[in-house]
Amino acid sequence: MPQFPNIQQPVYPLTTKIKDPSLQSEMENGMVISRARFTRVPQTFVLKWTALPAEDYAVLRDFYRTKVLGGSLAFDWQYPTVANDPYSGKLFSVRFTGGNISFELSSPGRYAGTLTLQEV
Amino acid sequence: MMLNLSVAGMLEKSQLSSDGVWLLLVEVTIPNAEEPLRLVRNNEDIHWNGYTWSAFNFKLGEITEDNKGRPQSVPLQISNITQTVQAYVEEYNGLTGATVILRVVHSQHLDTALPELEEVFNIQSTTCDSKWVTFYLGCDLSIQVRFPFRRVLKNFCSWRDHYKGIECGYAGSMPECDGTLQSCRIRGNSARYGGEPSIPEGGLYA
Repeated sequence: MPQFPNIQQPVYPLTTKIKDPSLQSEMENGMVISRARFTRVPQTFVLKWTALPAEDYAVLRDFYRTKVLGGSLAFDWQYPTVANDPYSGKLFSVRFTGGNISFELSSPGRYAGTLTLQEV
Repeated sequence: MMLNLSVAGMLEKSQLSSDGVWLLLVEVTIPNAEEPLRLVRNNEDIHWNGYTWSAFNFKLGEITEDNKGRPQSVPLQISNITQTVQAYVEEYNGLTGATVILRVVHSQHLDTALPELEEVFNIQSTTCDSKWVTFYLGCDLSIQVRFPFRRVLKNFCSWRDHYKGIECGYAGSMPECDGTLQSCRIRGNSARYGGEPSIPEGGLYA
C-alpha cells in the first residue's frame, strides 16, 4: 500500500470527524429508539497547511495525481505525534475524500490548502 | 422460509437503545462455482456460520405492486464500483435463475447458526451500470405463500390421496378410503381425519 509522502506536518488544529453510526427514531410520546447501523465507526481526518513549502507541495501534488489518483487508492498515513494520545504515530489506512482539493500559493514559495482523509 | 425471531432477537428488537446491529446478509449462488458470493451490508467483514461475509455496499429496493395488487420483483442493488459482481454477471448469463438468499442476523449473536429472518429468491433479470448491479428478484415472498398450505374441506379428508401415509396414519388392512369421516370412523382413525366438519356450509374464507 502506498505511503503518504514525508512532508511538513499539517498545522493545528488537526480535525478528526467521527461518523455517527446510529439510527434514531423519535416516537410520538417523545421517547427515542436508537440502534447502531454498522459495526465499525470510521473516522475522517482534516489536514490543513497554511505555509507548505513548494517542494513539499510538489511531492504531495504528485502523490495525489499520479500515485493514488485522487480518492481512488487507499494509502497509509501516520497520525502526528501527540503526547499522551494512543493515536500518536499510529498508521491508518485512508483515502482522499471530499471531492476536489484546492491549494493556493499564499505567499512566495508557500502553499495553503486542506486535505480530507477518510479511514478505509 | 419465514422464521420466528429468536428470544435474543426479540429482546434486542424491544430495546430502546442498543449497540448491536441488525446485519443484512446476501448469498448469491454462482453456477458451477464451489463458493457462493457472501456479502454483508456493513463496513467491516463478519464471520457467521463458519464463513466470512465480505463487507459490501448493497441495498434492497422497495416491494411495489402492479395495478392489480400483485407484488413486482424486488430490486437488489449491489455496488459495482469494483465490478467484482459484474464479472460474474457477464460470465454466467446475467446470473438469471440463480438463487439469492437474504438473511438478517444480529451482530451480538453471530454464534447463533439460525438467522433471525431468511428469504429465498430467484434472479429474474439483471441490469448493470457503472455504479450498481441490480438483480430483480422473483417474488418468492412469505406474503405470497399459501397459508394454510392445503385446502381444508368440510366433509373430505385431505389425506385421502396419501392413504396410510404419514398424516393419515392408518396402518390397518382395509382397502382404499373414500375420504369421508364415516370411513375414518370405521377404521378407528377419526382422530386423524383430514377434513374439518366444523367448517360451516358454503365454506369459510380466511
